[in-house]
Amino acid sequence: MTSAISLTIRKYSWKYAGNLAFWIQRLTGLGLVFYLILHVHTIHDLRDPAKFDAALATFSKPFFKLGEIFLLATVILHAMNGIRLTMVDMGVGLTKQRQVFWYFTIGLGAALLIAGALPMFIYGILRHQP
Amino acid sequence: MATYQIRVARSGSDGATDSFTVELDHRMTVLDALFLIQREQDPTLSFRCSCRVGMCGTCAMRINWQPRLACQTRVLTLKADTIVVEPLAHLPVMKDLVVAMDPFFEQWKRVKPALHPDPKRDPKKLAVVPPTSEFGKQAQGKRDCITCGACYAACGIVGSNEEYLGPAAINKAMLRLMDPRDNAVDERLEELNDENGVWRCHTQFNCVAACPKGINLTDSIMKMKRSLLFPKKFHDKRNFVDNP
Repeated sequence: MTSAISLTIRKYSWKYAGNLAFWIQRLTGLGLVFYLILHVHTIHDLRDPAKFDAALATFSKPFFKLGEIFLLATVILHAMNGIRLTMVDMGVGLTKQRQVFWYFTIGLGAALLIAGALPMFIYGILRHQP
Repeated sequence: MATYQIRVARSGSDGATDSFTVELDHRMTVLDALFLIQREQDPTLSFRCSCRVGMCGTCAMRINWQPRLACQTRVLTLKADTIVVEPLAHLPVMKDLVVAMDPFFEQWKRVKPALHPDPKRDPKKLAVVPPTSEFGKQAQGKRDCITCGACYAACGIVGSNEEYLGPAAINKAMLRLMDPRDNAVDERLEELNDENGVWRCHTQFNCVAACPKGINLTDSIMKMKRSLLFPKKFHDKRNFVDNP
């Protein structure tokens, strides 16, 4: 018996790339709004210099650097998908929307993520000095 | 021949699915399987079909969660030995796999799908629309719609907002709007330029993936969005036809 999971994966992998892109855009958007609120709230609390230094020390810990890499991935996904959507609205690549999603949004996005995340991983996590 | 398990959604109070085991040749379609079940296992199974060659759009149903034409879906192409058959989504179920198409056609009617010719034109003079004209080029590949409702059932926006026009109606409106013989331009544009018109589309491309005739419906919707943004360009394009 072909499992329901394998059928579902098949459904959303290639043919329904546009649907996948839609949900990625929604979820990353919500995530970024949540992050922005948290970010502004944290900055707002740091008017005292001593508190500010303590907070920066906390944020340079490997756990937060990992979080930053995750944040970068979210921003890249949202931005690349946004560019793709703008292209769709302008009528560019409409007939090749699956290729645009997988090669441009995901492919080029992954390349950008590696380029950005590698230094963060090496200097922030591997060579982190407490 | 191979053994397939066909899970058919049945209407009724419990909303259960019935499983049928059938022996099918790889060349057989899902519609053949349904006929086999109806003849040999359960004569109460209801479904609709008409032409059996993919030109009437009557047998559209969800097969393995994708809207498809049952007569055009060969069991082999599904690459699965379990086939789940359900009625089209977003439409009221009448019995088993039969849905009422009313919501689909209510939206279809909103865009004035019939030709509204210019009264000043001589009705006896046949219009010539060469394939090289703007309309001829636009209509190529867009006029094959068989109103099966697959795009309507696949659209995620229709699922959350039944007021939305839907891809098929917008595609029809685009064909009529590009037609130099038609005169109901402003009425249609007004219907499209609505929060439940073209602007509701979130370019999920589900309609394109579902369309059994391979029509790029999102392209039509995007064209309509652009024509509403740049009306002068649209009218210039519309009037530029080598049509007598």
